[in-house]
Amino acid sequence: MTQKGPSSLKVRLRRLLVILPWLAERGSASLAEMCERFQISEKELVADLEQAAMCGLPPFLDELVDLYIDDDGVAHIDVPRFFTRPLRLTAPEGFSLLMAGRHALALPGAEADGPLARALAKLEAVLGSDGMVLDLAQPASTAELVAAVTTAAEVSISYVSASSDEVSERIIVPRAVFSDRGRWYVLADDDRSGEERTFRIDRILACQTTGRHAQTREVRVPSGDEWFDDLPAMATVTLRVAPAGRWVVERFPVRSVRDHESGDGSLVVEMAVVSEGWLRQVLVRLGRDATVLAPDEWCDLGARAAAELLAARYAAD
Amino acid sequence: MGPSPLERVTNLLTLLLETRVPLTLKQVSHELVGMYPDKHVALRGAFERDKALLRDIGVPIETEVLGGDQAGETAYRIDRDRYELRGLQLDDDERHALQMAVATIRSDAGQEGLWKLGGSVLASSSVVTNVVQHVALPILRAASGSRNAVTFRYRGTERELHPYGLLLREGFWYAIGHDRDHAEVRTYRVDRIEGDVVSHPNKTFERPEGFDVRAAFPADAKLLGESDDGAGTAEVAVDPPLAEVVRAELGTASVAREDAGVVVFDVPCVNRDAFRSWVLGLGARAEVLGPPQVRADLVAWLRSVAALPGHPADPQADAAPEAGAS
Repeated sequence: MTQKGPSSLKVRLRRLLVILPWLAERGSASLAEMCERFQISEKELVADLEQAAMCGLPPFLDELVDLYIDDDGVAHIDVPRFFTRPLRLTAPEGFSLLMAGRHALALPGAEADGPLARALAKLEAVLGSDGMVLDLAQPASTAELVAAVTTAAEVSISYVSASSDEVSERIIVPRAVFSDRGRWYVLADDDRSGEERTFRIDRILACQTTGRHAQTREVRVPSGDEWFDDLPAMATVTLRVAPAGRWVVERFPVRSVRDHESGDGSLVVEMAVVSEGWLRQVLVRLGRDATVLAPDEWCDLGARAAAELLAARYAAD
Repeated sequence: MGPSPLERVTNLLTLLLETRVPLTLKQVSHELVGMYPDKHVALRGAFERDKALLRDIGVPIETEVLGGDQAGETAYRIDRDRYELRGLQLDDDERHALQMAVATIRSDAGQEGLWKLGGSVLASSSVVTNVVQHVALPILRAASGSRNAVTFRYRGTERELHPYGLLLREGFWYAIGHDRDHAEVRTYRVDRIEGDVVSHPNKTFERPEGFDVRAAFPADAKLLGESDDGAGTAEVAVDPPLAEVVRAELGTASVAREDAGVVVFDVPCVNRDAFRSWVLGLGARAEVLGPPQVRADLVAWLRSVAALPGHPADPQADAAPEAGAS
């Protein structure tokens, strides 16, 4: 929501139509509080309120927004009755609120009949019951890790590395739990590397609190496609992917995607490579639906990986 | 200096909310004196822009084509009952709970909705989900909520669906409902819908009592569809330590036997593409033991991959059918 430069007319109008009813209910409020709450600069806020105060034409003169900003930076306002109630929820707003509510209800520790459930029931009464379900199937350790985040509890884990399939014993301090594309991750301070690391929760075989606690601190949970880039610098592979192999783009974070210039529906995809072992598996799964364009040393990686798997497991067939 | 665009559009909103009878463009420009250009074409253009902006933010502007003296002219007004958010009184603890909930996902629309409900957004949450957003989702949800049929294109065909519900599973959104042409319940991946979803308020439906989207959806992608050879389950041996990860994923009920840490699982393989992709994701730690035709399938796949040229070449665009819902 952070805006750089002046906001568009649409953003300004939408914001004005939520600020006016909010302010109307209170009669007055400090500019600083409003800026914080509605994520707007004081300059823009004052400009928009002053614009609103200029609105109104005969015969509606008595319906003018009556505004006065005092020396202490407090806005006093009298709002015409049209704007004392907010505009109805739009379809995207309704969707987002219901989705967020159902998401939180599906998380570990949620109260099935608490205030959130009541809020959702009220929302549904206005927006219609829609049969929406969020299936957040969480690996067994998720609830324990979420609990550990809130108290910065130290946890010992047995972790099957995604890149090498080796088990390691580690001491971590969970900082945030997040899911992306249906998979759950814990972002944690890792004692082995001394760095912040991201672990796949479905690969944590066992976890146990040690009884020790670290200082709590805020971390920024990476969003969408960017989170892979937060891991230590990784190699990049460039693939050409046929339409039937599109799942790879949907399943793994990618650095870039574009249509192949041939226009045959295939994509050119740049992906961060966690490890060569991971890339081997992806290429064997994709088979003829993918071709490595770069770097050269991986051009035959899928073929080599398939041959080695045949030799290791299916030599007699 | 003339009025600012914000001032003009706010005045238009005020006027259309205030009026009891629908107003024509001529009447609007007469009431909002000095706000709009005088020349007819410029006036029409400015008014249409303002009207589109108001509709875009969710203002329900109603239109009516007049008869009598003004036959053929369009008139406009806003019904306050439809404009205002009503009937939603949240208690403080409910609003706070919703605020916490919005912090667990990423969405600007959630924040704007919260503002209307008098809340603000908490800065952070210890659990966050990156939920894939799609423009069709709010339309599908609203249609499901008001029991309106929707139409859209999917795999090149126009579909008409009674949307019973939406399901988010393994990071993908599915729309589930009664498909008119197939006369049965079908599942569609929302991100594979081609073009716009259109809701039809004049075509309504009833959702079957107790319908649950989870029950209508196969629990496992490896169960989707039908196999040519009739094999429904395959035996897969998985080496430690990955065997424990697989056990947690499939559940102990799927364990056929174990020996010295190697665990043999019964795995659904009806959807052969999904099954193959899953097994190959385990790399050399896993082996398909049987049935013979399923093992042969996998070996044939591996041989074809092993025979691929080691330099850039055109991938075949007509490869195996994709895994996933109908």
